[in-house]
Amino acid sequence: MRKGVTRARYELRTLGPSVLALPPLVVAIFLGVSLLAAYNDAHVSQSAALVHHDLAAGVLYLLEFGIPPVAGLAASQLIAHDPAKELHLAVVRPYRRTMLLRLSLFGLWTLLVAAAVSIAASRTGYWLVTRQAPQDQLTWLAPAVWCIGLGAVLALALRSTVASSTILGMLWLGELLLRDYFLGNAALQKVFLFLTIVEPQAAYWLANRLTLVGMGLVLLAGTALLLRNNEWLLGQEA
Amino acid sequence: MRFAHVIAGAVRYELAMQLRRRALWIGYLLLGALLSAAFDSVLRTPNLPDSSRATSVVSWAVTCNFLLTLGAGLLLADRYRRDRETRVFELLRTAPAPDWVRLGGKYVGAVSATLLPILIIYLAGVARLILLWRDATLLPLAASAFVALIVPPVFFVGAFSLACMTVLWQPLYMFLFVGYWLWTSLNPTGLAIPTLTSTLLAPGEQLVVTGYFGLAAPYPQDVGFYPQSSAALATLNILALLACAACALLGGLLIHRFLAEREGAAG
Amino acid sequence: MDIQLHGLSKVYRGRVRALDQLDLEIASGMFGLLGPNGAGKTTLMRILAGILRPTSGTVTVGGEDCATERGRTAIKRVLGYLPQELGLYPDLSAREFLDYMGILKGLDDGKARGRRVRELLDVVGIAEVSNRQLKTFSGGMKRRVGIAQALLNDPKLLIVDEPTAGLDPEERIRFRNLLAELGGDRLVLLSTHIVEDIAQTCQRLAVLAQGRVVFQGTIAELVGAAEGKVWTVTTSGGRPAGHFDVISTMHQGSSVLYRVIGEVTPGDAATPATPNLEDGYVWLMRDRRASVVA
Repeated sequence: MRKGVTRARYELRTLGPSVLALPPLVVAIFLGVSLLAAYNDAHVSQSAALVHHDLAAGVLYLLEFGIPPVAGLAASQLIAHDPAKELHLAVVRPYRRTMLLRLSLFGLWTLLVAAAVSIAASRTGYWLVTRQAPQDQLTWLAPAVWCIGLGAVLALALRSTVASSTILGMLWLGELLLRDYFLGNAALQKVFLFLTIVEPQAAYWLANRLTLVGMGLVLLAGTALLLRNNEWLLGQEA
Repeated sequence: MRFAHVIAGAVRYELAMQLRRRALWIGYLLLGALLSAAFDSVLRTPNLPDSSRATSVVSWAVTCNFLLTLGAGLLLADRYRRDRETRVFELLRTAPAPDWVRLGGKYVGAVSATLLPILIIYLAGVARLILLWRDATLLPLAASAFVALIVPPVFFVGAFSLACMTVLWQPLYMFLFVGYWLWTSLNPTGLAIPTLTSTLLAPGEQLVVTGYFGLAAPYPQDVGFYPQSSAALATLNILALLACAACALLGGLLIHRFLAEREGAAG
Repeated sequence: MDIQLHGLSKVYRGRVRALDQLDLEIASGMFGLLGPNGAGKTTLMRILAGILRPTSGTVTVGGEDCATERGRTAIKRVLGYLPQELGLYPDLSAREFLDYMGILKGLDDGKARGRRVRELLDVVGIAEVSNRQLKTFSGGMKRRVGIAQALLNDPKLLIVDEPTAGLDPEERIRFRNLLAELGGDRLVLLSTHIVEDIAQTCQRLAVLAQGRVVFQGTIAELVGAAEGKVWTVTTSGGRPAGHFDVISTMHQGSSVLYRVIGEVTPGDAATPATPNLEDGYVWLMRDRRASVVA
């Protein structure tokens, strides 16, 4: 147990404070923007309902729109950027297990941050998601798993954090831009990342969330496979 | 000019290095495929009459700018840091040409290379429209839309990607850049917060769309300082972007020199 | 502990042949590996360290087969590895980094691991700065950390690639001696471009070129190959005429002293010189190029 705690502590240290700071930073930025909007509305319209909506919308956007891509960016960073990779490949503990452990620890940290925000929001009446608990947590969990899986597998396949982050960012924004196209296609509906924001009452909401989780897990399995290929890992950026 | 050959050399090789990145082509290929599949959906943007051929060409340019320029900003984020990571930085600093020559060449070369896949995707969409209507007279409009609506924003984001990476951590910059891009390109939440959308500093160039090409503003409300655009305002928008790019590059150069001096002093 | 390589080949992505039908036997003790850049030294070391799989041929290390996962894992239990490109975690201190590497190497007993880390910090001479973050370390200090981590599990097989790169002359001698002390019943495989390091520590060596072994034997044998082929010549400045390779050039005021190697004497003014290992290596490579051309 103590050895496991020591090991986990070191793995978190290797992630670095910057990676770990990203989820709370996203929370701070989104909530800051919501507070600014609420403040403006409070002075202009003086409508308590509008102020309440601003804050609640901020929470929803943070969870479904903000945290997932940032988690994906951080995942691609931690997977692709390991300065001691060659040393890891020469030790008894398999490298893929070490990397999956790091990914899991980061995922757990993201989960804690997101869950804390969502629980706090629902307890204080700033929760716009109409789904029952615990299903409502899929609002952020599903796109987060998908983004983390995609970020990780791209980072390994392309051996570059910039390339993987770019593709992740463009696909994420592409879905936003092409939301009509995605929502109008029966197959693509299931992989639309922002369904709770755009169509909260969609009948296929649960199917969409479960599909995203499933795809994310498949992408993570792909990550684990690529982590077995030492020759690829030691190669140069694509 | 004294350093013309050095700048030309830097441009040539930075262009070659960026073009050789498989990630550049893989990323834009994926996005091109997505845009191609959603082509019809893409051309139906709000508040734009969908019967006009010119409208379609311009809205295609707007879409390409929104999505592909974002990719350019992200893909250029590592060009400055790469010199340090590959340890060629110290060697480059011993070359006789000043830093601004080398960094200027890096900027022009890397950004120009990144424009190429954007141009290819854009032309593929234009070709599709021309074939649909069998109307080659759209080509000059398409060319001017590319030059006015896509090229300046790409050089704008490229400058900030190079400059900001002198001090910012890469994932943080990428996150902030995407947030900035959304903030200036559209106001998706309708939140009552200040925005650069439809102002002189908007790289989404709503002023250019209305000022040069005479199309209706993409958003029903006038969120900027200029309720009605014109060719003059549109030109001012482009010049403002390029001026900001120049300031960003200058700032980046100054920071680069400061950091290099500090490293030199530390021995 | 011994290493047996028979017909070892490694081809990257179906195109680049890094190792080509290599046959080599390495017994316990200090063994040197020389060769030009691109000869396949690093590839060979990575295969022996269990990082890469061979494309064909057999590789056994201490009786374990490198072609199997089980064999590679068994080798890693007794392996200490110092790569040429040493990457460290900048935010960890030296002590923390060694402790972490100890965990990865299977040293599960925290107290024993702590003792071993303290011991190695003293051995490599960085105990006083062991709590500083690695990002504040100089290149030489990082190299010392690298050597320390390679010794954590008291390895039977120690593979070191350019271990003294970035070290000052005193540090280099110190680590040379450290490595030499580790020989004996261990197998220490030393790959380096600093010929003097091999000359001072190894009994036997192999020279690789283009993925093949071009020499395998003792230091004395390689040095002996250059016997009668090395001269020193002093000129007024210009390179002496003749078909030979210049090993060193030293300006001495108005004259220049050349050390050259070739088949025939470069003139009456030339003085025969006693060859060293570097001369032997240069002669071997020269002779090989001549054979290829022929």
